[in-house]
Amino acid sequence: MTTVRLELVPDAALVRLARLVAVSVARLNGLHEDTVEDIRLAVGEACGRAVAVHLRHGVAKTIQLSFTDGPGLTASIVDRVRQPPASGSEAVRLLRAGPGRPPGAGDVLGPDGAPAVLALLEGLADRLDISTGAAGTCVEMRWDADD
Amino acid sequence: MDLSLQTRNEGDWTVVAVGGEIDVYTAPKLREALVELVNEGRFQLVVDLEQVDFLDSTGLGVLVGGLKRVRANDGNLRVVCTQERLLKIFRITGLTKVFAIHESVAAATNA
Repeated sequence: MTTVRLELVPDAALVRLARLVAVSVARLNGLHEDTVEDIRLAVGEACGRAVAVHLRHGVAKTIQLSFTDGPGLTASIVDRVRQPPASGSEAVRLLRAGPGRPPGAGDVLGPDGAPAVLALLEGLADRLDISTGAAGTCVEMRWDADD
Repeated sequence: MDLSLQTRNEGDWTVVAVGGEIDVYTAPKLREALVELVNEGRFQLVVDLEQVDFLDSTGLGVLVGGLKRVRANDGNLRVVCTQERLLKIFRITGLTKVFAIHESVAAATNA
């Protein structure tokens, strides 16, 4: 099992770097190109959300990303903005209601009224776990190995 | 990869051909272009995404904002896109119900 870790200062220009690393790890792990595309978009969405929430709260700390392979891929994106402790549906509610959507995305609604970011994360990952706490918000996404 | 924008007129329509990646970093450039067109009185817009390699929710937000602006002036904003990976994003976010998505600029301007 290989884990690649990345720390980014909250700068929108660096979100692309996060996508590139995610794609590289996914391809090294032999995932199907359709899955790689899903990973590219989902990691970009999660990282863009984290950058936005850091900028909005004036938090200069780094955003932490990790990508762990085999089987499949797990991507974890952690922002460092303090939130009430929650997990599961309550954490999703906090993410849905709170700041952190990239500028311009806030008025895009999904089929159930969810912000587009959340709709995409839920739609693209095989499994999505969100937890919040004093240390920030962790968005963990998992993709199964291709059949 | 940066974002490229080329604007041309086709009849009553203004076509904005977008290339590259539309994300949280580059989307403001597209937003500025659409706002500028509306401020110039161009309310019939086609946004051609055929040369776009990547589109995220920020880009979708810019397109929704553009659609709102032209509709406020009785205009329209149509999208040209045949790339499955981009169409998937429109579907997941429910925006296939919001945008008229066409296979070509000709189809968009003649619809």
